Amino acid sequence: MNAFQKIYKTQAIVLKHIPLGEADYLLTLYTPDNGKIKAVARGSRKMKSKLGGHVEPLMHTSFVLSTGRNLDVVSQADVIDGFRSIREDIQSLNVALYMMELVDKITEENQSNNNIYKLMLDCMHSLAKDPSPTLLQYFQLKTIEYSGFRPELYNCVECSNNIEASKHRFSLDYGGVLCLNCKPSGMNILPLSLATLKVLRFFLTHDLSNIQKLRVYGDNLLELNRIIKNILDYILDREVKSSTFLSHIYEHID
Amino acid sequence: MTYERLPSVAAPLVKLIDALNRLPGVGAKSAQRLAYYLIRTSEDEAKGLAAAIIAIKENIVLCKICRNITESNPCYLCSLPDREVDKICVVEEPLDVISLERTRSYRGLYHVLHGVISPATGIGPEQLKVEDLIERIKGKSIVEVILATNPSLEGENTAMYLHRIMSPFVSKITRLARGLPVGGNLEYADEVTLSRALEGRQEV
Repeated sequence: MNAFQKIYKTQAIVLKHIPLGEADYLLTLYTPDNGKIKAVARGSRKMKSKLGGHVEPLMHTSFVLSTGRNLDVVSQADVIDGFRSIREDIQSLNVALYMMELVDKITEENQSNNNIYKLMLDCMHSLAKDPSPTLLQYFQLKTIEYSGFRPELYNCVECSNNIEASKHRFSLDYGGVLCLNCKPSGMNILPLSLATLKVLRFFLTHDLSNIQKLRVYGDNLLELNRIIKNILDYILDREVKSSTFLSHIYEHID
Repeated sequence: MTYERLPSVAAPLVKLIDALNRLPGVGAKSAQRLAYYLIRTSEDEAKGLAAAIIAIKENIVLCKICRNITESNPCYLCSLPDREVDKICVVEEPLDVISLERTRSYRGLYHVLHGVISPATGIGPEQLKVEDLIERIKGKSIVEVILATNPSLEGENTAMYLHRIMSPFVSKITRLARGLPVGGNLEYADEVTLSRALEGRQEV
């Protein structure tokens, strides 16, 4: 070890791993204090690696890392929670895969964001036990909020007046509701029903435990999914690829 | 590194270096070294290498039954008379067939998916040999399908998916056991592996 090397401990959720060299994995971790970081887990692709199962994606793991010249290196890893019940249910697993890809795409490296870390952990625990039917939509909107894109849902984004019930649309360019008096200057205007607006407001003002009782059906669910997907596409400017297989699962497997 | 702006290097050599450089695990320096080595080899040896490369492109096909890489169609394993044709072991890659064959404890046939479902990289069932597998088991009297994908997140996802879509056609679908590797160490085992090893314990 030289003077520039530093050893530190952190908990993290393993977002993904990609093969590196002959037997290593390059991990993408989400940590409470440093946000998203990358680290090398040497030898972890070998069957008998002591890191092996501890550095799989979807593991909540306690790490000891040492700072390297370019990348941090994993020196110890110990699973805190492997979310086994998520792994063994095809729907939950694919919801979790979507969540991890979304966080990976929406965050930058080394930008600490404790809210996102806590949100992800809470949602994973909820997914493992008794997930609410709208857990995914809640997670999406909260991730949008915690990434700095909280949509304005009460006052018109153009004239700042209070929005009247059922007299509103949603502007992607301004990131919020628009009253009927204001003429939109951009093209990205979506219709937004009162029911969906109320669900969005509910998500932003309540925490996970309150979502449990919320049920959204039929056209309202379609509209909710559409508006969230539009906001995400607008912010990310690229696709969250896991959504394709997730929809496939919802459509073809009960 | 690109050689295009180096007129001092002979053009055919540049072409070879660039081609070698595209191989997995071969960097610019190794590509150079390999190319200069090939210049010094005998003509027979060099032609042999070239012929071997052409042969794999011209003579290698995917087996019409198991989709494994083969030169005869159906492949060697699928045409053996003494294999149990009513058992199919589903694997991710052709190399997995070799590993399983080395155990000498499986007498059935295989099905090679050529990959694994990986939602985040956009690889779904359509990109794999899943439809071929369904066609293969539909209406046939298959006794058992063994899901032998890796015990990784993607492998488990693929196994669960295959189980769901195959269960209308096959009565017995099994998954390779997950637990401790030979020569492993309990101290370093993760909780998912350990709890599965406990559940799968056997009387001695």
